[in-house]
Amino acid sequence: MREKIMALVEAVLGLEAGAVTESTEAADLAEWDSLAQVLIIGELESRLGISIPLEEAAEIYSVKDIFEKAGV
Amino acid sequence: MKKIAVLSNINMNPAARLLAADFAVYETEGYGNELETLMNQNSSLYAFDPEAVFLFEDLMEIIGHELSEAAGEVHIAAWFAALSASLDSGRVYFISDAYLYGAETALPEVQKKKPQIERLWDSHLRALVLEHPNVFVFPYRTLVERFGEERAFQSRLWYLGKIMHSMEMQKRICAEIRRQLAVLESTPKKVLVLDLDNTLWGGLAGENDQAPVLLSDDGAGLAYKNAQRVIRQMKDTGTVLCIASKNNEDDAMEILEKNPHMVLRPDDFAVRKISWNDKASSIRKIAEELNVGLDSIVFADDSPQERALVKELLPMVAVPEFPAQPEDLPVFFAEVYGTFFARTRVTEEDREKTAQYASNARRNQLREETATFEDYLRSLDITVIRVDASKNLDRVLQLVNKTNQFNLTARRYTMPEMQAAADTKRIYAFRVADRFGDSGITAAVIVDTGGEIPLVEEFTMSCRIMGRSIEYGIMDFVEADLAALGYDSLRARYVPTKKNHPVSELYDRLGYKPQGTSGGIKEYRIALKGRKKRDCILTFSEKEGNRI
Repeated sequence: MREKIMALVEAVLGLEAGAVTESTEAADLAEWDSLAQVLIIGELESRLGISIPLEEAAEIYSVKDIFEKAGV
Repeated sequence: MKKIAVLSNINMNPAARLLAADFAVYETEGYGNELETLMNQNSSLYAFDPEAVFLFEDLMEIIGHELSEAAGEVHIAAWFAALSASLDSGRVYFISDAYLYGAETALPEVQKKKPQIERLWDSHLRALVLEHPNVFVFPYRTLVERFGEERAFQSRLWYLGKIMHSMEMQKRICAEIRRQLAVLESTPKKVLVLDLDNTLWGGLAGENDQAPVLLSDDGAGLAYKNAQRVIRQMKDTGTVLCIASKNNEDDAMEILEKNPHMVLRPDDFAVRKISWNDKASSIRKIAEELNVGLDSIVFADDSPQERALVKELLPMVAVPEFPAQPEDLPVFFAEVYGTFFARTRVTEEDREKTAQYASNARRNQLREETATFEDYLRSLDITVIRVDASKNLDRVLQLVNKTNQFNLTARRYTMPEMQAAADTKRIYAFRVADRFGDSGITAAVIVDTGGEIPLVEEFTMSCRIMGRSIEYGIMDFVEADLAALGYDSLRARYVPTKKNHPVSELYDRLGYKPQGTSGGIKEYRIALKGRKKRDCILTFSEKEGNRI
């Protein structure tokens, strides 16, 4: 699942495979802005069935945070 | 690359991002501030200088959920008044027509009011389009109705970031934007040249007396009849119809004159070339007889060979692909109309008119518009309320750590660091309200007063309140507070990140003196002694708000 999540983040951000790692933080990537963040959360639900509560969505700053919220 | 802007009172940035592959797209600063951006001649929009501006307005937001006609009219009229003051004759505008949608439109009672409120918007829009040759209607409602509410909208991204449309709908909107721009650029077409067999009717004229051609009130015959109905409407709106077909003229005329299901009759066609000549020659003759250029002709024919021949010999003629199934014909002709003949284009005459009043009116307009922007800000009744940061530290932490665009140093804090700052530094947190509502704690400034000269180590504002000059008022407040505490001057810095370019010149605009740059970090200083209050259109309130 972790691999799938990273691939999804890469797809939303329009990056090549391998550009996003487990230690990637939003601040590291110009493409990961607030809009991309919202789109990532939307895609997590529609593609992978991972539903992050709205109020927790703002607490994601990194790939690690996504794993934590997704419980993977 | 063509420069375009997509502005909205909701978040249309996903569509803007999709369009970036084909166009240079203006990057909005936040969202929901489309009027401010348009009215402020100093906004980054005018520095970007787009050729076309697309405005998508969510009607429910415009009317503030007030579902009476009277209240709706007030909101809608105010929006159009503000917009029309900001229109610039040097570019084209596409404005979405009305589709009222919101949480409450699910109720049948609200469904009943929907058309009334939509009509208010559409009549203002129509008036604007009639007045300005460079303003066009963007057929948004048709897009929603074709795709359907359930697929066009989604709620999750709406609550997360005011993104109303599904990704699929965003794609459809982008396709329509591309189409509208293509229509705008193409040479206006005047003439539609039609084949007959398998184009206006099914089957071949004169082929078989026992099996008359397919044209009727049911089945595939009805599809052809409906296609003719669409073509008939095209003629009524000014499209010139002609025939270029390979038939025995008598056989074809028999059907044209006598078939009871023909919607189009011989007189509906300005020129008829029914012969065994090749179609390129027929089209050339039609152009001569009508005295029009080949580039104003569209040719519709079911035969791929004929289409290929015309494309090869007459490349100026537009030859759209033809549908394989008769049931797709009515939609095909409607699309031909939309792509080539619909009057959403700027004609040469319009361009001249536009250029004339551009040169006359621009200077005056600029002054007027600047005044209007101030009037507009005034009309918003912006109130900035300082709140006790120590009681709202989690929100301040979130704001500071999450905001990317309007964030001068992009310094990130941990909770213990923020708590320490609350004890040893000065944290200013503000909530911002206007006549539309309260946006909560959306601005924060952290000043380190430990050194000889205090330093603004963090200044951030949510994109929700950008574009209203609120930053001027906030720094004014901070400076006045520090001056009252006895400080003579104040230091500040801009630390560039990948995302905070919009505020790279902020301190310059605020009148801070540059003290040099090292490693991209710009240092500034301003005297607080004898400082003058800045002009800003907002009210400060010290009244403590509720905890958010």
